[in-house]
Amino acid sequence: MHDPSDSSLIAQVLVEDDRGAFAVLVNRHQPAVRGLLRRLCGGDVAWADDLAQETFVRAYRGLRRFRGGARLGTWLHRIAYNVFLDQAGRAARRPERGGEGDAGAAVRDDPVLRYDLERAMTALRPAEAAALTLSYVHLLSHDEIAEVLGCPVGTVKTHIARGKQRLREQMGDWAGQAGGAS
Amino acid sequence: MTDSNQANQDRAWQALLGAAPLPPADAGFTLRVLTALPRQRRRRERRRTAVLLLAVLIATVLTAVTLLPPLAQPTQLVTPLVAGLAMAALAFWTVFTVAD
Repeated sequence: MHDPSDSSLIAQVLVEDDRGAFAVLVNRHQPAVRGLLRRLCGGDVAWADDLAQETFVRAYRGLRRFRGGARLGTWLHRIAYNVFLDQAGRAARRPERGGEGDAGAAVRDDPVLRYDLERAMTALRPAEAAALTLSYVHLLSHDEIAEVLGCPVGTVKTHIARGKQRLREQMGDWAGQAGGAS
Repeated sequence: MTDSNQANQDRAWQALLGAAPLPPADAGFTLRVLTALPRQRRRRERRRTAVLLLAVLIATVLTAVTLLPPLAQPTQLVTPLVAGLAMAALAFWTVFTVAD
């Protein structure tokens, strides 16, 4: 049996206020949303999950405004990015340290690399961190990233280029392996 | 830069930035979101309540308009009473059915 599509689940939520259907949507999209926010929050897992919760609550409230022109994932990324900007601006909060991640699950091959990466990401502007993450982790197209960030495609390319440059400066050897010339 | 160089560099950046993998789906997080959702009443229920109030109001007005004159003369009360109640019931049923 195949999983119901996003659009059919959205219809169930809108017509019947079916919270079970919304739970399926949350379950399906939470890795991407929480992953993006963790990156934006410099690995602060608790803060990122708070923002992810707010993202889904806003999505629930505004689901009627989702027209389906974009993918639901792109729309959720946009909300998550805006939630981050709102909260970061309001609290002027900066992560104190690189993230610990949730025990075991987050540390994959190289915990040192991961720590350095999270720390280096905090030096990036939010738009740069978001553009890099959406491009290289979530594999979104530049058009989709432009939709998430609410800026022209050319600006997305600039954010990515500057983000790479800052990461190279922050991470030295690590980022050098990722192609210092581009 | 050649296409293959570009592809290699893209892969290298993906490997670097993907060093922190996406968190797995967590039922606890989903539950947390569901708990935080607003306890809003369904839109249809709100509309139905509003229509019910409107129907009651119309029925009351119709009954009053129909019954007030005969009340002055109690001997002529039965026919207008039946008519008034029937009209009120009809108004109530019409408004409620149309709104549903």
